[in-house]
Amino acid sequence: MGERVDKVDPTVALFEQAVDIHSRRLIAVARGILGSMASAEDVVQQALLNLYTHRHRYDWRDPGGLMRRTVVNEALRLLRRPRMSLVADEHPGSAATPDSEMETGETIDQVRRAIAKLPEHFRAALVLCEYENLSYVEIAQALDASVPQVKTWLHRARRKLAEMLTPYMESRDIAAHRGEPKQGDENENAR
Amino acid sequence: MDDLTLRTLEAHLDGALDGADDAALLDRLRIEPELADAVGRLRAERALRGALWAANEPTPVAVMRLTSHLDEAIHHARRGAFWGAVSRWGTTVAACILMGIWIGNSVMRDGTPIAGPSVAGIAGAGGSVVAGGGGDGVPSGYHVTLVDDRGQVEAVQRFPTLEQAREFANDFGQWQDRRQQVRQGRIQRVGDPY
Repeated sequence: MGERVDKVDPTVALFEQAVDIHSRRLIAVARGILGSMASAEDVVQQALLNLYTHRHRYDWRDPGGLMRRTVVNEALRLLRRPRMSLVADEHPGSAATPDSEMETGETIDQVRRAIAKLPEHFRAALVLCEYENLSYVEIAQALDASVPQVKTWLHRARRKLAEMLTPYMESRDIAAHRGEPKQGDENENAR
Repeated sequence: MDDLTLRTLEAHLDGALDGADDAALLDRLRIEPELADAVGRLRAERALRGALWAANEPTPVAVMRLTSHLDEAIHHARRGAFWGAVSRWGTTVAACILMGIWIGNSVMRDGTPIAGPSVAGIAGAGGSVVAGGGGDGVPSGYHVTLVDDRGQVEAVQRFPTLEQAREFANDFGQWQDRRQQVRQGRIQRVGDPY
């Protein structure tokens, strides 16, 4: 009697633990889906806050999956808004880098621009498949779609990206094969 | 390269083919150089995208910024929920107090308990009224009318003689006075003479 018993909400502990473990990947997933259309950190924060507020409604047996689904949905919801504006988010790949890494930076920028032209559900499926290594069934669950739909989205996304990036890849390969400077460097030399 | 073959190759790279299909595809890759080239191209495309996914990974600073902002947002939400609860409780208590006042007002009037019935007068059987029990007698009988504080008749008591009617009216008046004094706390009742 008289002993003080602290009543700790178990979902709060699960939530905090899951944030520590998964926040890095969640930001990366949000960046993959959003591109430069919104701040990935803001989207992840809003998604996790919503999850915390209604934490008693959810099944916390797979906190990583739950958080990923929430972030994906929040990102897609944001992208479907009628008015979107570009934001400056921190993209490590596009930051100024030493000469040896400039080519990689340029390649990443090319891929980023090409992926930004895809429909948002194509991007989401691609990120979940290739970055999160989810199965088609898990992707379908996360995106509230059927497995054949997911397969089609992935196939079309890859074919469109290939169309957009083939000219760049070929020019890069030829330049590397001949040991010539790239298009931008040629312009510099012409001056 | 037809679409179906490309889809099969993509599924192979995604690890989505089952064991038998995957083994059959690997056999074909060994003997079909065109197919092997296609897989090589798909792998190269995937490696390009992989570079972007890796570049999208946040720095530790960005992760710390997120967790810090999230902590603040959660704290803010908790504080909002607390004051919301306080506000709801305050409204409930105020509503209870108002309800109590309203009920009290309907039972009490001007802070005084509603009076019980009082003697309006003693009347003869012919209808003449002898106010306060005074006046000459009327031989055929008398009645005492009891009214409430709004003047509504509550009861009529009949008596054969004026004397009895007066005695009842006096006794009733005394009883009412005593009851009023007890209610107002001016005296403490220790016994009942009636």
